[in-house]
Amino acid sequence: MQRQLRDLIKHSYHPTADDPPYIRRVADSPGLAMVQEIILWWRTSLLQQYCRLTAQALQARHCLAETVHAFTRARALSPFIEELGEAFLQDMRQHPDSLLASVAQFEYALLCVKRGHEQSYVVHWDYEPYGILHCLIQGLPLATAQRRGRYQTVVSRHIPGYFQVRAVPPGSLDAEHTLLQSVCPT
Amino acid sequence: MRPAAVPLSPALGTTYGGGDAALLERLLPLVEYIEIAPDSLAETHNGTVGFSRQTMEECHTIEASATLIVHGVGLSIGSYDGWCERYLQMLDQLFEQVKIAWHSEHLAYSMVEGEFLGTMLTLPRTEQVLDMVCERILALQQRYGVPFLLEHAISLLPEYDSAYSQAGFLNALTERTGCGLILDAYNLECDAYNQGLDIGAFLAELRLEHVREIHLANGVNLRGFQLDVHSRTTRESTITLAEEIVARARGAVQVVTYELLREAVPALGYDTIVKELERLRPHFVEAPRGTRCHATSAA
Repeated sequence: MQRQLRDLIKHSYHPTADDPPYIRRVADSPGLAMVQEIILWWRTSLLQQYCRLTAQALQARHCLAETVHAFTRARALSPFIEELGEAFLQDMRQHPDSLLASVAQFEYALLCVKRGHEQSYVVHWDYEPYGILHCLIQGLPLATAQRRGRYQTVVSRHIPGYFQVRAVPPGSLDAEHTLLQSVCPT
Repeated sequence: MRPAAVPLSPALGTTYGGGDAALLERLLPLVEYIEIAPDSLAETHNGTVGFSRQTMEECHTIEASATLIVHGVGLSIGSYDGWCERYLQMLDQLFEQVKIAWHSEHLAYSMVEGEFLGTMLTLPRTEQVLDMVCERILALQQRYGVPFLLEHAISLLPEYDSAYSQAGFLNALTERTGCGLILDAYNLECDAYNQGLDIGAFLAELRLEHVREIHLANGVNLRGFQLDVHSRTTRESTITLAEEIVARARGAVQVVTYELLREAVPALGYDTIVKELERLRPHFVEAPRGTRCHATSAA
């Protein structure tokens, strides 16, 4: 029964007439919908705490709730905020929206270096990063800051403030090389 | 041998979510007990769970001024395939480093086959579940050597057809294991609202001498459900119910704990939290802080 309830909660199980009456009763109950809503709210809240920039970027794109919902349905999740947050950032760094992907990669790199990782990380941006990050931190609309261009942020614990931004001239070898490397290590 | 001292009235406690020294400084003069949740305080790195030096220093600060008790959410004592071992790893570390008067958890489960549900679900009250939970309670009592308390959780899903009433099940647990109970007065109100629990009948049936702690909390009403969010100051009805439980338990209740989520602290503010504790104290505690005698007997 616990497995069935888990799967009902995750929207991955639809009872049939052969299922026990209790499971069918739960499936039809407003309580199940309430439980699902609470779980989504709570996980969104945790991700907003741990992945503040990425969550804010998703919020600015009006897709935070649906993104968290899809993320939580697709996998078994940890109760620990660090593990939940890292799994989420790993997922978001592959996002088809390049801005969201860059923010997630940047945030993941920042968390790693703040924890003492010696490795440096390079993140590719299609928008000027300072403006984007300022808007995310201040909760301002992103539209005002989306200045297109080719940029890189280098994230390292050896850089004052942990990161620096550089513009990449279009067509430069550096930009192509960086594109191939702009993924955070697993 | 002289009998252990028994409190004339409960002490006052509150929850503390960690990492807020300014709040802790304001709480400690107002309460005799501080309740911490290992799940909120622990950090994980590369699959290992532990407590930072700063967190342990805070725990030492607390135990210098108050009695430390632990109340977790992640044990999942009711999971059919076994409880959460990582929760026990957290408890092991805490018990090694600080003095804990007792620890507690919920009569529920939050994990299935190692997967975290994101919430707690209550258990069917059957003989099979009773056997399973009692075995685990006895193991916990042996492992840590201090009292263990169980709290009933609220239920939002339909009730399962059960062999026991809610009170009857708790009575069976305490009779078989000697464990203590936490009664959450607001949870009882939630169950009355959401599930039609008859609180009077519940209290009449429950063996109240096992109730060691009462929780006070408040939450929200959302889409026809009353939810225990631990986000507000206590309602008068909840205080009145808690007073009734204390009176009927005849000295068994050792602490009344005001529960507040760490996430709710910024919205409420320190002053409101302080005023809340000052408001609650005269309802439950007869003597000024520092002059009570605390119970030392086991649950």
